[in-house]
Amino acid sequence: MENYPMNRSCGRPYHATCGMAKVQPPVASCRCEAERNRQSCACRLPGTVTKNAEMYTHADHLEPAMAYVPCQQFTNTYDLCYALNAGTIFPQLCKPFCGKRGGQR
Amino acid sequence: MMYQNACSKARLLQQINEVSFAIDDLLLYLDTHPCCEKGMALYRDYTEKRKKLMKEYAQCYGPLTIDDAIENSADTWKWMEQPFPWEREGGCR
Repeated sequence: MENYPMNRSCGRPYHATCGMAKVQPPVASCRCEAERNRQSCACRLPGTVTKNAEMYTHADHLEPAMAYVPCQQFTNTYDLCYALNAGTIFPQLCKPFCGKRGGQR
Repeated sequence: MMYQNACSKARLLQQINEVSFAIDDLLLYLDTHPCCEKGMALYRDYTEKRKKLMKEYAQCYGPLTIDDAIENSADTWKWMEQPFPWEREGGCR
């Protein structure tokens, strides 16, 4: 559990998360900018080197202004000890809420 | 010796909790992906691991569920004699 932040109030084993990164990215004016903004996310699948490269590539071809619930794909899973702390065995579903007191910190 | 025993008991219980959680999460996945072979294989691995851990716990510290009630090496019924995990050792009686 190398990423476990003992001093964080949310007490989860990650320090930055998909869609819940500590720093709010600026509003993107185009898809290219949105792609750059997503680079700050620290969630990654086990055994991969690049950050979140796999997490959102499937969304690039989707139409805007539509709601989607993508079907989950089977990937590598977390270690059992890490999974119990994270609340899921699937890295794809690791989407914790780290907002605080009505705002994101 | 006493501390070591309590430590290994807690560690064993922690491992059971971890693998039980993984199985719970995996069965939610399999509900929507009933034909996923990788998911089924992982489910088999984890249920096998959980069975072994539950059996080991029952043999060393008493059964956690009624399924393992006769895993204890003693000939008598131990189900009601040993403290349940949520009880302090002898403290709640």
